[in-house]
Amino acid sequence: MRQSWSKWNLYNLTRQRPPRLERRTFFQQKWTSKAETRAYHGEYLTARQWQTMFRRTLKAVVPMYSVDLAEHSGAHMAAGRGAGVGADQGVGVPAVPYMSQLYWPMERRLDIACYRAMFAASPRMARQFVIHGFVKVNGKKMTHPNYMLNPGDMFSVDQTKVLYATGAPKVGTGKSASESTESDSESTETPEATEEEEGTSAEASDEAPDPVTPDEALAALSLDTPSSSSSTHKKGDPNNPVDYSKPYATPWRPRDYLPPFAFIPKYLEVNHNTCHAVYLRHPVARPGQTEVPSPFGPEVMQLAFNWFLRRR
Amino acid sequence: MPPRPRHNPIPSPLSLSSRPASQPQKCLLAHTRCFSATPSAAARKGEPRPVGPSQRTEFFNWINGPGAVFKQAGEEGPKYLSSYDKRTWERKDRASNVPYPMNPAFKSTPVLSNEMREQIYKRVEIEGASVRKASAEFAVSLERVAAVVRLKAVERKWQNEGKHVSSYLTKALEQMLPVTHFVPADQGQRQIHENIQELFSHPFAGRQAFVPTSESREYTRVDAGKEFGLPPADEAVPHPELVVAKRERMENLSLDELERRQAERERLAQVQQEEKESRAAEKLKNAGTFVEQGRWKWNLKEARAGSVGFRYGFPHPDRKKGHVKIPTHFI
Repeated sequence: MRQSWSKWNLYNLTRQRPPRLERRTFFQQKWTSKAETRAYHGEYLTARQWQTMFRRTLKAVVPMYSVDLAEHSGAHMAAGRGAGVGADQGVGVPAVPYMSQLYWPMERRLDIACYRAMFAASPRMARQFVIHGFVKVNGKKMTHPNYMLNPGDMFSVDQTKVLYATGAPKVGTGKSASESTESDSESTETPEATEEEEGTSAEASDEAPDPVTPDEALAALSLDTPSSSSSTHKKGDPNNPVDYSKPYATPWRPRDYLPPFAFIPKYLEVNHNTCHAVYLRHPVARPGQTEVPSPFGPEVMQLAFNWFLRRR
Repeated sequence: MPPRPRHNPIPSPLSLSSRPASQPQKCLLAHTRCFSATPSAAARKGEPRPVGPSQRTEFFNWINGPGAVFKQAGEEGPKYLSSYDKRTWERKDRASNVPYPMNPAFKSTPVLSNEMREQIYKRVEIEGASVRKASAEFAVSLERVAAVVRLKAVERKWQNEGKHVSSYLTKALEQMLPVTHFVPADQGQRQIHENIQELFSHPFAGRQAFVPTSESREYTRVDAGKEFGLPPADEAVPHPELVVAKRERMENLSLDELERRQAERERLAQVQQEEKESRAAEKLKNAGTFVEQGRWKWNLKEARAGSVGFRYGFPHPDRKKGHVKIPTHFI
């Protein structure tokens, strides 16, 4: 299981089981949890790199409501037998999953933030975008994927790269010049797998015939006005024309198996029209909810957190 | 598929020719070498080991069968794994916003629709409302309103420059994500995007305090705040003015009186802001001259010999006991 939008990863998510912790020592439980979570959260970082980022302090917010604040002075919280009037009878608020915040410093990294903003198909792809100079922070090119974003930082990724990452790949072009530069594992994917191609789809789509005849390609290249080329496809969005020079399938359409991975955490505000995003604040926990995306539950995270406290 | 034996060494003339039946099998070819001379338990019983479909086959069975629903967005809104039954892979009646089934603590929260962002930008940048006011009106947090205005400003700049704006990408993602839509005032109730009164849980408040008080005393938020060295929650929330407005509305005041009080508060805030700005300007004026050279910005100040302050040749007292330069606490 990796941080990635690939369909293989989706299948692995469906097979995910909690780590087997019963009949194991506390040390072993912590070790397993640490190993499993670290293999998912920034596996391309060394242990030392993560340990310097690790923070013992975890951030949370308390939801307040104007009506409650106006109605009550808070005296009822101090009354009663310690937890406020009626607190021992009613159903309380859910616990704050502080432990799920373990990897929040990771979310500050520029490459991870680009992935969370849905600008790249995986943190590794985002990392490549950063290193290759397609990412800007506050309008300046930033080539260090380990750049820690601060609240209020605006970052942007080259639009073509974002459309390449989120869009369906070109089919039947083989290894063209534009694709071979993107030596990401996603580019070898076969999105056109259908029911009848079961089992052999990986091989079948590699040999799919080129749908672009040379005549069409020539026509598209010579007539680069959007209105003339958009007449060839059915939707007819003049903003989204056929353009064979792009490294993704045109007209642009979302890649396959994106919906189950589509979410944008609350600490980001993203504008996909221009592929810009703002890092609003550090991720926080609130009762029953965390802002750090992770497939691991609070119990596993707690064990991993205890490992990184280095009191083992 | 017929069951396959686990080890299928290529029959070579070397291994087949001169081997007595009693002797354990010797693997001569490196690529078929077995590391244990003992046959497996199943082989000793004479049964071949049962072999199921490979993981690769199982993957293709799933992805072309029940997993095909995840291929593209549909009319039903977000498609997360938790919205589907784990055995039958049928969509549940109540869709879930949990992308990772094993971690219910992480939920996919709504994003602002493009229309909503346009309205926020219009309200702040064209109609001139303050970020604070727009935040209360749209039920969107302060930082988010400010970020939306910044991002939309970039978009306007791109449009003016004739750059390509990928609106189709936004549209496609709005089909996959939970979205807060803009509802005009005359067409029903607005959608609440997020709680705008979230209070940051300050580390000071993390300690346990035992404060003896008399039973008759009303121990309020203000007292608790004093105990922890923090402002009371009514003032520390992002929108304290909403709490005040709510309190006044509960006092059954006339509309004129409410408006008068609101105007008075706004006037006071304006005066305070102006005072703050004038003080900052005054400070800058008396700060001496600034000379910028590359990375450095020199601040040149008038110095007078013999005045009280730093004296050349005398050590600073900052290493003495009780002179702590590092702030010990802050709020």
